[in-house]
Amino acid sequence: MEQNGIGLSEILLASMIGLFALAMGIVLIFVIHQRRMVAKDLQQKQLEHHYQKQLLKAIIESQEKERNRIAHDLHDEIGVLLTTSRLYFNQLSYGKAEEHLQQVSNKMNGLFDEMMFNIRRISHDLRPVILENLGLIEAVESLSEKLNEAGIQFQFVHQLTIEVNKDAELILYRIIQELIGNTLKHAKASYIFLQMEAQQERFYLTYKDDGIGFEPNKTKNGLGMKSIESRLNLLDGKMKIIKPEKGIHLLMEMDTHKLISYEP
Amino acid sequence: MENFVFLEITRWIVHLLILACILIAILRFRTLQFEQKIVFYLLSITLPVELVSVWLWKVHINNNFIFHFYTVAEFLLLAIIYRKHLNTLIKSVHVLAVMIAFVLFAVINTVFFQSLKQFNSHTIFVECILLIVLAILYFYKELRDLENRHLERVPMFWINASVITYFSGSLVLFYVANDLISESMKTKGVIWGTHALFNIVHYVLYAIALLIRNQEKTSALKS
Repeated sequence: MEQNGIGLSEILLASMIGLFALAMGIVLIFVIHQRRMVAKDLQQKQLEHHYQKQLLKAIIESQEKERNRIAHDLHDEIGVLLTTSRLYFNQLSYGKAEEHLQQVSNKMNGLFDEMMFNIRRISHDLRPVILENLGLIEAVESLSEKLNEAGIQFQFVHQLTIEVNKDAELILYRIIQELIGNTLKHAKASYIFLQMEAQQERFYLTYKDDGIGFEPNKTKNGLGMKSIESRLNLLDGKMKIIKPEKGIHLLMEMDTHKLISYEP
Repeated sequence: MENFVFLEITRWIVHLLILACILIAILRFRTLQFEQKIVFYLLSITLPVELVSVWLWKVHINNNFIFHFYTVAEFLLLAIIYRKHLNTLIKSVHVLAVMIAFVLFAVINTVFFQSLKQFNSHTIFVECILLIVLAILYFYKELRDLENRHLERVPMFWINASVITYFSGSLVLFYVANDLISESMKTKGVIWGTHALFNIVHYVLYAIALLIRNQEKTSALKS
């Protein structure tokens, strides 16, 4: 009996101490793991914070660039035309020959026509009329025609079964403009492929060209790509850069609900 | 004999630790957080229970009946703490259901299986299991949410560490407690002495939980 009693106590003691040590071990492992996770989480949040700051910077820079462009357009084109018109206007006085007045009037009319054309062009750049009136597909097709006329083969494939909200359409249009702008500026491409399709609840935008391509890591920090990413972010979209043999291949994915009910 | 001297010393240390915890809690009562207050109420019950049970044991009166009530009170108070802290993981109503089920189980056990004269090992064993599960769930929730950057500043972490270590260490002992009656005094001295050591760790961790002033519950991004 005594032998059995000692045996039981030993087993009991061993299991008590074993379970206690196990619990202590769990606490210790938990503390170590929790600290690692907190450090990782902190690092992740700092990276996200940095990325958001970069995006914000890109948006501000892009806005600033756009304002500068508009300012230059207004100053260089409208401003010059107005100054010239004023000079002509000063020549309009009593006592001048009718023929001279007719000449000045014709020139002023020409200047006003040019001014109206320039104002229309600037406002079109700000908010494309075709996009406003006819929608995204027509606006991209119009871009396509211009590119084809300029000698770049632009292939546009679309299968949209959803009605994209006007503000979301403008964002998509700006993304496409930026992509085409990048291709024209840097890629030395002769062919561009753009596809837009809605599948179930997802919207996919594929963009390819046959240019010289780019280094995703370097370009990721570039203003153009940042601007695209910042716009894509507004639509909660994701972008995947696929490395083809030649040129670029980008795949963007968005939620169709966001495109339908987007609110700026 | 030596074992019983050791047991007596550890028992006094435990009583002094509980008293110290109560004094800390009284002095800091206004600044205590919810879980710290609950631990204070628990310890305010534990001290008289310990003293009375030791006194009854010394005057050779069966003290087992005390634990039938104390176990229920202890589980309910600790479960109240977990109910609040696990509310983003488990619905409060589920913890409440477990609390009610435990009380029913304790009553059934006392009425039909282990009378007030017997040690309520079944109830305490179930209490241990439930509290260990709740403690593990708390750790899981902490890892999932990462709400606290500095755990050492969080009273609930110390309470949880106290619960998981003490109830894990005592789990098997409580399960076989009634079978130990026939064991030699030496054996009982060693086993209950070990338990008393776990008790010391238990109350030291409670004391740390009560001493902590600042609880940090912010995003991990905030420094």
